[in-house]
Amino acid sequence: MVPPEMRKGSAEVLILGTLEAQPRHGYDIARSIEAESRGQIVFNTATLYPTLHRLERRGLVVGRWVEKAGERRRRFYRITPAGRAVLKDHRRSWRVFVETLARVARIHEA
Amino acid sequence: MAMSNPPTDNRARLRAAARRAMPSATDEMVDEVAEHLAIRWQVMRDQGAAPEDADRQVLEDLAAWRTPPSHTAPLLRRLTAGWSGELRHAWRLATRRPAFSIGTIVLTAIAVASIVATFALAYGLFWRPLPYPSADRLAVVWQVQQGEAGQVALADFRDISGAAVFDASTLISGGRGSLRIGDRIERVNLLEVDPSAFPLLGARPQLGRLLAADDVGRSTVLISDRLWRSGFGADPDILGRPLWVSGRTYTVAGVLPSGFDFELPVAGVFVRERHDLWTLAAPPSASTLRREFQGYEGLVRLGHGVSLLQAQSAVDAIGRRLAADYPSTNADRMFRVVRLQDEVVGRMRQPLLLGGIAALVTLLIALANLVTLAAARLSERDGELAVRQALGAGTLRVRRQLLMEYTLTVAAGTLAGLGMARWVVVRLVGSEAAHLPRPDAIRFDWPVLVASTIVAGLFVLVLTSMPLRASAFHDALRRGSRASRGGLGARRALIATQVALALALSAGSALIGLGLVRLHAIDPGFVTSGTATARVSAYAAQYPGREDVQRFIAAIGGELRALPGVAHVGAGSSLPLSGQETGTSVMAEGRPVDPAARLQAGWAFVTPGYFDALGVSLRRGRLFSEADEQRAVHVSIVNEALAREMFPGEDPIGRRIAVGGGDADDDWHEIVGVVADMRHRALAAPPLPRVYDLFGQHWGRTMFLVARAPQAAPPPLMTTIRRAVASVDPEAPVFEAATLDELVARSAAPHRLTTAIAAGLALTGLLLALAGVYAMTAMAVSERRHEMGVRAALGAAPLDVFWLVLRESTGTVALGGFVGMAGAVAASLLLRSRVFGVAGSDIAWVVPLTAAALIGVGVVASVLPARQAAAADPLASIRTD
Repeated sequence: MVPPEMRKGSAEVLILGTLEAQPRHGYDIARSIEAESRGQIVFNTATLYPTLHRLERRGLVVGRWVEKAGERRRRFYRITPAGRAVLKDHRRSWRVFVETLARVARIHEA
Repeated sequence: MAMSNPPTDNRARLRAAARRAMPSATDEMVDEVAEHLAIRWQVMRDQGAAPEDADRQVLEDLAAWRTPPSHTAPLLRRLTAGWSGELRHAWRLATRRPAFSIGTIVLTAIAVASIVATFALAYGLFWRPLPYPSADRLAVVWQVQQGEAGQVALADFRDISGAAVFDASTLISGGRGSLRIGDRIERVNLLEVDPSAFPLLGARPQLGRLLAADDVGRSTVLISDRLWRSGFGADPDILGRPLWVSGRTYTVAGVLPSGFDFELPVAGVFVRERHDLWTLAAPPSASTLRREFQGYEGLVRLGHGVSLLQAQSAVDAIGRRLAADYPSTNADRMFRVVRLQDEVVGRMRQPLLLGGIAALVTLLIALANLVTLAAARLSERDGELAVRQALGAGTLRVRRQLLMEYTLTVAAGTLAGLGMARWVVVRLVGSEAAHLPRPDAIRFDWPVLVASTIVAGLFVLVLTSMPLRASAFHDALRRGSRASRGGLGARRALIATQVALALALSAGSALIGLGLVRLHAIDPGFVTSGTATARVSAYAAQYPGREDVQRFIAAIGGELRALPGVAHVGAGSSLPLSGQETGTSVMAEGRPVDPAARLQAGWAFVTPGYFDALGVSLRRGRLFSEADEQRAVHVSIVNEALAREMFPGEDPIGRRIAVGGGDADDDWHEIVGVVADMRHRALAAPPLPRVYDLFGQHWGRTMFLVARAPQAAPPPLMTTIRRAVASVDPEAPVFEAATLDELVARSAAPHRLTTAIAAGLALTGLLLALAGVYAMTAMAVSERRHEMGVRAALGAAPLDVFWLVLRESTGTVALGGFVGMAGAVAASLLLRSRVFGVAGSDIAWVVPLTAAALIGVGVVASVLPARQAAAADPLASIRTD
């Protein structure tokens, strides 16, 4: 599994990336990341929710309580245009980071 | 996603557990987490897990809340965590990339030095209060007659100072004396004051007492701390000691504190004084009470809350009343109230205002340069910043790290700039040529430090708030380097701005310099080289009457004439550019005019040798002769300006004029000659009508001696004058010794200071802008190395690459040049009305010429990197990407 410190550093980009296509509620976000990473990245609630709330405070996502018929009310998060811009920025940073790591630490040769 | 809703009691249990695990979280977050856990629990159960296993998973998850992750720590801790690490990192970065750090330090130093030096001068002169109580309410009252400001008459001042707008007033007049200490004679400056001067100026004796009203007529004196220490070895028993001053004996009543002085302003020209003796003025006599007798500095203190404007209108009303009551003297006489501080430093306002504007422009150029540099640096560190951000360092941390780095370099630059500013200012204040008033007030203390801190803070703020990476600004900067394909990049805009500002600055300073050249090209009307002058006084105790004074002056003249190398000797009550000026009214015989409409003219009495000693050309008639002194008829020589004004198209020789009132026979003079105009008040002031009377037919106790030695160098000539006076009377005070070259230089001093400040700042701005052009081209070349290599590999000749690079930077420089022309024209228009010798017609050629020169140098600055680009090995260039 991906070590916690790396998970933490990448939390924002992972969450924003998950929200890019559609709005999701918290559990759904965590489940989606876990599934997409084939179980490599698992968020506990202590990382997930503070990060979500921080993103919301910065205006990158908007959370809204939704009550669907036959379901408990859940908070759905939607990415904002500012969030999309930051996501673009993050992706670029990470690309540079990953390429640098690959080159410097010879990741691919390992 | 198949998910059923977990039972409500299980949800309540999980919520309670979440609440306990996350005590500081909001209810909303607890709700969300509880919901999350409930779903998770149910999913596990649905997948066949036992309830205990599902519970354990939930508890494990909640356990993570008990060790709060760093981003939930309080903001303050997040902000302050890791400062020392950042500082170390900033230091590592600064030292690893010395070029950038040195660039930042140098640019900051230049900007801080230019703005702080100007500020230190301006603060010291204009804003640091004079060292008197309620100094901001002190003002001087001048008499204004036909546009000329001068000293006031005692009787007039008594009427004026009685106005309700003033709550205190005093009269001060200055003089010089000879002080005998043992067998030494010292020349000292003394002030004659009213007893009211001491409380007004806040004097507190360090020894003895002040002078009071009952000291009038009792020959008591106060001495300065300076004299007490240098003359009397700080003798504590000085009180009551007799002091021999200019033939009179005074008793020391007290010693004034160190640093206490009154800088006596003289209308139009400032003369700095170090006063060592303070005595009380003699009680007014019938003659000193006459309104014709104007020889006092009137000092007033405005009442609380009274504005200068209110005081002026009150004084205007009194002036009108006096004009009606005493038409023969006061018909056209008005009074002006000037703040004492403005009076003392007023002539420096112009140079410092222009200097301040120039310093601000230099600051902007330096800042633009710095921003360009920092942008290049950021783009270089793109990778590092990306990695830091990717590793979870938020923008806050990255900014904080930049803040540390910039704070470090800007602080170093500010310190260097302060040092530079201090060096410049100390030299400027120390230079006699600058003739700065209030030199003691120009200090590098806390207001100056605050100003430099503000500048430094501004720099750090601008640099730190620059967008980081992948931002609009950054992209714009990158685009800027490829601006040949359209789009005005931010970097080009910054460089063009620098060029434009530098052009405005250069054109302005070129015009000021041109004005200075023109000022020095003015023919003052007298010979300046090889001519020395000094003032000498014949004090009353030794030389009571007119004949005594005449003999004294004649004897000195004889001594001087007998010396080898001295060709011409003369003396006069006034000397051009000396600051000494006496006025009178003149009326032609047979053309009686109203007193108010009479021609105002400068007036002096001179010896027959005066004009030859000054080398003034005679235009008509003859000069004075020794024989004139014996004639009953009073004779006058007038200047061309008076002849033109009073006798247009006529021969003034033989005409009779009334100098003064015209009521007495003695007032009527026959014109015997016309001499060339001299620049009297200032080099830049056009000559006014002047009339010269013969010393002997008129007289006074203080005369300017003038000696001209075409062969000898002036300094020995000055010693010669001193020696000649001493051989006649060892106790006679000689002062204001100067060469006429020095008097000319002093008259041009403010203009020269303006030129020095403007030229220094323009040169700085120019160099900065050129460095910017060079850096921009070099940067563009380095960023486009790959493209250049491809072009070269595809067969572009090196020269093509050279022209490509050159075309881009030339375009930017030219753009800046054109924008700058508008700024330069604006600067020129600002100067035209303010600086002597700057004409509107100059703008038409100075501005384009400066622009052409600047663009030319700008192109040269970009040739070097362009050549590098052309010479680069194409394959190596391709490999770098």
